[in-house]
Amino acid sequence: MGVFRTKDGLVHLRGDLHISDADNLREALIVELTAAPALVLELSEVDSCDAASLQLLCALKKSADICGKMIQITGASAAMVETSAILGFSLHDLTSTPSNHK
Amino acid sequence: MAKVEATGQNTWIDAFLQEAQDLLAEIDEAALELSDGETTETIHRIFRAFHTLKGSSGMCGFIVVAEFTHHIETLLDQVRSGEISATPQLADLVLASRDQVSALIAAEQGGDPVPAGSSERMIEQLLAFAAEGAQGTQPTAIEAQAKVSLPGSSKSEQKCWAIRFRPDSGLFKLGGNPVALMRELSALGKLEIVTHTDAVPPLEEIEEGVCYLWWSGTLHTSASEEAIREVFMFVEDGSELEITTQTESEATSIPVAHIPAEITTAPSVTVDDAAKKRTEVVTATALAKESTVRVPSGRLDRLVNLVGELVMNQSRITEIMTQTGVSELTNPVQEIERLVAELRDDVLGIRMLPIGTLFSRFRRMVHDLSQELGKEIDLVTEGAETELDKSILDQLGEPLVHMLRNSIDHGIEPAEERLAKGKARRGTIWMRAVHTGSNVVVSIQDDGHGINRAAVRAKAVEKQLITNDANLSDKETLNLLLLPGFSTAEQITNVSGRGVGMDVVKRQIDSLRGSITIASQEGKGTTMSLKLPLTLAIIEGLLVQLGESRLIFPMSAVTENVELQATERTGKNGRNVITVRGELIPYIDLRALFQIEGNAPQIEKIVIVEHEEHRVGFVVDRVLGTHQTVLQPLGRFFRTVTVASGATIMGDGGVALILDIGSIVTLANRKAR
Repeated sequence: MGVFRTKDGLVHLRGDLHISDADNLREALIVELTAAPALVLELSEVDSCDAASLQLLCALKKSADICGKMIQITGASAAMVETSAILGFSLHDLTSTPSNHK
Repeated sequence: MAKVEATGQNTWIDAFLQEAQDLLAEIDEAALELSDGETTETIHRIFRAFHTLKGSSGMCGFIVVAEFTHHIETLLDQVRSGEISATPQLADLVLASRDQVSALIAAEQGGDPVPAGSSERMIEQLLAFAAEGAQGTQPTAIEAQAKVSLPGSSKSEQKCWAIRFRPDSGLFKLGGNPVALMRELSALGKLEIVTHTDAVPPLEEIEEGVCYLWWSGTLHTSASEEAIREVFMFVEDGSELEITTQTESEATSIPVAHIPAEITTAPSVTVDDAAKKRTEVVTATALAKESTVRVPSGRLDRLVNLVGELVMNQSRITEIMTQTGVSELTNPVQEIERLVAELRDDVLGIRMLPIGTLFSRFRRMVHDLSQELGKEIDLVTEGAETELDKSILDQLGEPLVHMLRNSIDHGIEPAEERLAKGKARRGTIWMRAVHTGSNVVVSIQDDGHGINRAAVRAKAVEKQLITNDANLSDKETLNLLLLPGFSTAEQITNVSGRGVGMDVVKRQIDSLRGSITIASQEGKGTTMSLKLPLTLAIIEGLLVQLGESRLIFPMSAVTENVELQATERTGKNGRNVITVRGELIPYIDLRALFQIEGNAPQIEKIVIVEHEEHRVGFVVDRVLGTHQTVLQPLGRFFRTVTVASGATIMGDGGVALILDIGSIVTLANRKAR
């Protein structure tokens, strides 16, 4: 699992996002959320993910909503999409809409 | 993949392994029914068993098992839908696949690895069968019926189920995998599900390993509620699970989960929003369903031991109350006595299992062995619901296997020989279990060529077990088969006839306080019957006094007690026999046999017991009455003592030996010679 920010400001998540690494992912996401007024997630390099990691992305969105920050997703890997589809999890709901923010 | 080990911490894997054994046994049984021509329900049963195995093995990390099982499941699904005919060859494939799954599970647990490429070869066979079947042969009448009436093959049986699943918050920690769960559900039909995230806290508050997600949705399937519940089998504990039926019109669904178009072309996910409200209703059938709990047998054994101790202490209290004569204690002590007796019966009842659990595994054995020996044999079981204590059932398997092997190998003739004798081409073996009082009689009967007495006798003489001129009754001749080292087989086969076996069977049955009898008619067949006690934990005993010692006879063997006057001892010219209602009954003088000092009372008692279809008496000083006997082993210092099979602690703290009738008779016979 890896989380890193590129020069263009995108936050890339890559590798396997699984429960075993959930705590590290949580810490990394808190750092990224604190670091900028908005967070743009790039998920197309995610090799696999599970329900626990999707839950963390959902928690990230809730944290962002509380502190009035924007979240956007620019891409998601096939594995991530497939897992979301199987679980009936909406990746779209992770993206902030303008009405959510002042 | 790393070996998956079942530990006490990973209760799900323990549960899976236990469940897998049951499912494999069910597949065995159903596959044999399939080979007998039963197809309608059977295919569905086998499919469901493999389907559950696949799902639960994947959930528990047995990926290799899940991947292999997927192939047989796919084939069976094609049979269910009528694409492929259910032929007798399918039964063999199912059995072989079942064995492969069993081997894969064993290998995953650190057992012998499966031969390299064996799974692949098996999968090739499955694919070849599917390809051949799909090309289409004209189905037989039975197959046609199966195609028409198999559950799941008809559109009209489709139902819409509303499902609401709020897992135990520890789901992730325990290794639960909702993705695998939903895949499982999808395999049953058209699934429309949505993840609810309302309970998910912000990142800062989220607790490691806690699952805040829950799911609701609909499933359009022909599968039963039971089949749907099976998907949740390993995660149901601590979770909220509601499964209710809906009509098709109610189940109109609307899309709720969207993937942004710019992200991907993911399959659309829809859910029935209205389902949330409807799933609040739990159906009456779900509530009415009796729930079961799996408990390790060790814990049950401990419970039985504790009840045993309770019974002993209760009898001590009763005795103390009698001695002290405190009348206020009478009622409460009697009440405790009643409650303890009820508790004892209930606890022992929990450990009772139907003997059918044992019978089912023999069907496979008969199928395999008869094929190996080129014989055609049917196994008919009766009384599978007869219950026996688990501790006895656990030890009964081996003796029954040996007896069955004997019937298959030595009893039933090859088809041609049977036809020549005017018998039916296929031989039959009957396995029966029936309650008789406090015993269970398990018998194995075959319609083979019976036991050749002359051959038995000749072999016994050759093995120097009897002398050439020994005068034996028919029963005694047949009982020669139970002597160590006896075998009449012309050839030693892999199946039986190694010269050990029936004596081992006898020893094992003796250790279970049971007895074995043989009946045989030449040319017609043989019946071997095992008489076993219902339980070994607590038995009803007859307490007697002999000198300073107290002894216990198992009540199940006792038929009556009679008085023995000193004058009667001399009246028979010193022969130890007594006449009871015109019947001459031999008796054993326990005082003399055990060399107990002191004089016997003027009037003694003879306890008459039934032993190997004969009545035999045992002379004791006094009969004290019945006694709830909690059996305790004698311990290693007394392992050479054969006349007692155990001991029990009495109300006053003393010890009473439990007599082993068979051993005493043998000892007395030996001393008399």
